[in-house]
Amino acid sequence: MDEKKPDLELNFEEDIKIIARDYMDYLPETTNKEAFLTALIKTLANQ
Amino acid sequence: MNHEICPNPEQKRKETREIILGAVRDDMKRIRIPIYSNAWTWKVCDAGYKLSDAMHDYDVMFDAVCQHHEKYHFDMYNDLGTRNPIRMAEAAGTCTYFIDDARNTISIKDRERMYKDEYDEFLESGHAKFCFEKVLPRLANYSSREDMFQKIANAGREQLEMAAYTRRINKQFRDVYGVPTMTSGRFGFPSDTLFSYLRGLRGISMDFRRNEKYIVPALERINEGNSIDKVLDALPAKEEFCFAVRTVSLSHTLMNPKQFEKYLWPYMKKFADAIVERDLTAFIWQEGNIGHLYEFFQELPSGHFALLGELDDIREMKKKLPNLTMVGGMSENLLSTGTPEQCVDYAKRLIDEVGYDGKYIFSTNKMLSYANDARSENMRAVNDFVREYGVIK
Repeated sequence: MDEKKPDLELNFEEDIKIIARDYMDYLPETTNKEAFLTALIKTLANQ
Repeated sequence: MNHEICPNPEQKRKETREIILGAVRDDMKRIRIPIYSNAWTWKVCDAGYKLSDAMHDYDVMFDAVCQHHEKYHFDMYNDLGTRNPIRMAEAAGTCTYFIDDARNTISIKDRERMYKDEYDEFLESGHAKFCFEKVLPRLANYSSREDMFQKIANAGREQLEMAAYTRRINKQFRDVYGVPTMTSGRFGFPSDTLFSYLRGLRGISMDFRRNEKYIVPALERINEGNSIDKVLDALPAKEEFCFAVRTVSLSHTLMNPKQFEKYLWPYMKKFADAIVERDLTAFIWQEGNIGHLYEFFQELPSGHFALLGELDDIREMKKKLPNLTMVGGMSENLLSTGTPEQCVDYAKRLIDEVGYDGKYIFSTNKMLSYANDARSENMRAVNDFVREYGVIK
């Protein structure tokens, strides 16, 4: 099944920094965005 | 819809909390058998809404949940419409929910999200990294890294929307209806994460035979950062909730007593010790049966834990586990097909045989989900009866 999908070349440690910096401007500056993202990722995987 | 207003919500909340805790704690007066709502998707249908509408529109969900309270006046609610954050999962592209409006159900397909030969990688990566790099791309069809990043960010925005709904409905119940908050949070055992969300029920059944050496290390890896002490440290003042936390477990249904002792009990024991040490209470929800595991539950100290055993005979549990407050017992089959008189008779026997010492919370065993799981007039009749007959003399 995975073979049909594009290789996204993900790197968790680097990528959450990118998402936090470039994609989450709706969060207040005081939010720990990486901690928020880490919890969010586990929540999404546990649905 | 205009919603009713309780004349003195603060007083009512305080009194109801004492009724609920009185059924659990040994150092508080037992006042009355509390009535607990185990209604999930049923309440949406009962309010006249389609499940898919309520799951996607928080105003609709708000009204459905409020109607549920105003019709039946339970003392305590497990779900205020926050159980399945489908909008978040859809925004992330990872949605595995399937809503069936005709049957009024929401279901999730059991599947392997971590493959049997990936344990070493999981142990090396840890839970969050593995979920990000492996699980989410398996659940979604991301076209590129940027697509994935944007969708995860969108899910974060939806999480804030969900949090806003949660605050709104909690405020309505607390400050308008005078209903105490049932629990301050949830606590999950790592075996449920491994079984339900990584290996799937079929996968883990094979791992018991072929990958056994990986199970304990994987549970330990999942449990990192999942400390009960961390959860309890973050609790608000005790007066703000009835139970400090609620646990929901399904993974024990696949385990024999030896496996339970190895894979789940160490975490449950640590959790229970922390609750007792801080003199708190917890609500333990065990899906399926626990009849083969009574010897473990007998070790939990009295006065701290309420137990809902979904498929167990509550009279048998009461005999075997006098240390715990029993939850459940009402037949949803009778609520669905019986007359109000039959339902009230059944409820009376439960109170006489299970609630005679006040260590009992009245409810259905099973979650009310389908439209036909209960008739409205039966639910009203039973709750009215239990509220009067359940007073401890």
